[in-house]
Amino acid sequence: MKPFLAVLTRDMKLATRIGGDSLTVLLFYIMTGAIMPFAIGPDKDQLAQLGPAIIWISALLSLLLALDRLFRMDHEDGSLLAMRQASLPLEMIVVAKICAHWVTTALPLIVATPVLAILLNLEIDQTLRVIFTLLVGTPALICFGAIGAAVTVSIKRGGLIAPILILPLSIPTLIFGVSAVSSGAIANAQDAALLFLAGFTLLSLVFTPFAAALALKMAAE
Amino acid sequence: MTESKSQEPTPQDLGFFSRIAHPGYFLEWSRYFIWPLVGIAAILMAYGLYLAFFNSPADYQQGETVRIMYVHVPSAWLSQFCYAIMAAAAIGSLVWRHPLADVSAKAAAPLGATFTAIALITGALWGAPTWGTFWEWDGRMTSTLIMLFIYLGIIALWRTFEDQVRAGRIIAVITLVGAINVPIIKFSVDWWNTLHQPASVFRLDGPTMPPSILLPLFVMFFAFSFLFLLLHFISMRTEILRRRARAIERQYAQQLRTQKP
Amino acid sequence: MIESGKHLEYIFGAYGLSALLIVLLSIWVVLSYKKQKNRLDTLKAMGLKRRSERTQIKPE
Repeated sequence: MKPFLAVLTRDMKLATRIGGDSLTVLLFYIMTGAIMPFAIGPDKDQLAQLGPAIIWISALLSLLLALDRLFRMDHEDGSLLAMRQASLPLEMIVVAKICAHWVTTALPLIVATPVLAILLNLEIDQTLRVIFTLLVGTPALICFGAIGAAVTVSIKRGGLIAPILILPLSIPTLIFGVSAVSSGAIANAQDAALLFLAGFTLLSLVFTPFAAALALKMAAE
Repeated sequence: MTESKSQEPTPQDLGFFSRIAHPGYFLEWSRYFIWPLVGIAAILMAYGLYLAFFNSPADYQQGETVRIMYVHVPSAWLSQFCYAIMAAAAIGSLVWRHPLADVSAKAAAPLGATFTAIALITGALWGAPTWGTFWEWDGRMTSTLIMLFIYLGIIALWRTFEDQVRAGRIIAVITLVGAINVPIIKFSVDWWNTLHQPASVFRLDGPTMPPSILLPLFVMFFAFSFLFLLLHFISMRTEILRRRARAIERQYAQQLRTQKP
Repeated sequence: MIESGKHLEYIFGAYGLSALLIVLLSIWVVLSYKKQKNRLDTLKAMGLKRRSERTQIKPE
């Protein structure tokens, strides 16, 4: 447990220090959400209807933006290799890094969501629901992002290719996440979507550490 | 100069499966399959096209557009079959680290992408007269589109790696992650689709098909499968040759460097 | 037999585009094979061989 916590706190410190991207990602999230009405128009009802989708898309894009730093720095300066000498298996190191990444990038977005909700004219209960679905769904997004980041870690100029790989894989999260807030007239569809979202997140939490660790091992060979 | 590196095993000392999968031996035996495959694919394709255009009736519901199905369904099948091959090859790359598995996966990706694109194009051209629009966010077509994105992502990944041996293993990981995800994506898209529109859209797969439609479908299905096999074989041979040429060039470059003081 | 005037443009469009894509793919596959074959032949003509072949042929 001690090495796990050590990796966790180290990554959180690095992300929140000067030069860390936490604040940048947060600003990107708010700006992406706030720029949508300029394209859609200021019609309040329309914005309220599209609000959950806008918030989810903004969150998805912001998380993609932050992915590159998940493993790349540590792979290039050799810290990842050093960490593998510890008593902790690489899979658990990946879990620690994912947790730290979620706390330092996804959690600030979720906390700042009410700001976007006000701008997009969302009702209070809908805002709460969006926040709840983001809490449930963002771990899945980060997991797939971690796989993409691990796969592209040894590519020198591969910053752009990871999103191409990750976006198709994050479609289920997007579908269930948005449907859990605003779905059609079908009864119980929202609850079903929320359950699917939770299931998907759990599934991705199970296989991501193994897949990402495997890719990192292959990259270090 | 002494050879410090151990020699690769010659085909003779290996078991049957290792022997047919040995890259050098594969080059030997696959050579004899190329022209027969060309023949089989050409004959089946000609017969299938004859059946499709001259010897099959129009469907009572879809009318003449049912003929598009004879290209659409085999391409859609190949788009999934090709991914299954890539996933199987990915297991071969990761578990046995077999070089031929890498070669097979790399050769399959562009073929899969092309057949997926054909499935999409023919689907759109079928949809235009039937649904009145080229694109409908129908569950099947949407998941085929996502499949195309996954193929293109994998092809892009192959192109960014310098070291193809390492690339094979890393791409195997993302291929397997994709394989786990494809059914989930398909399910989620279907679910999303029923959520947003009533399921009254006329689908490509009618429940009942008369034999006169099934026969050309069957023939075209095999024609496309053999065509795929042929192209896959040639692409695999290409990839093996490319790796050999690269290895020789690298050795030559090393030799030049050691000769110069 | 095919009846004319019933969405023929879509049917021929579908077959035409599929044929085009398949032909382009086949040409690409065959040309890249030829290219690698030539590359390897040029290397062989220069007297360069793979390490395994080289040791088998001239055991010094």
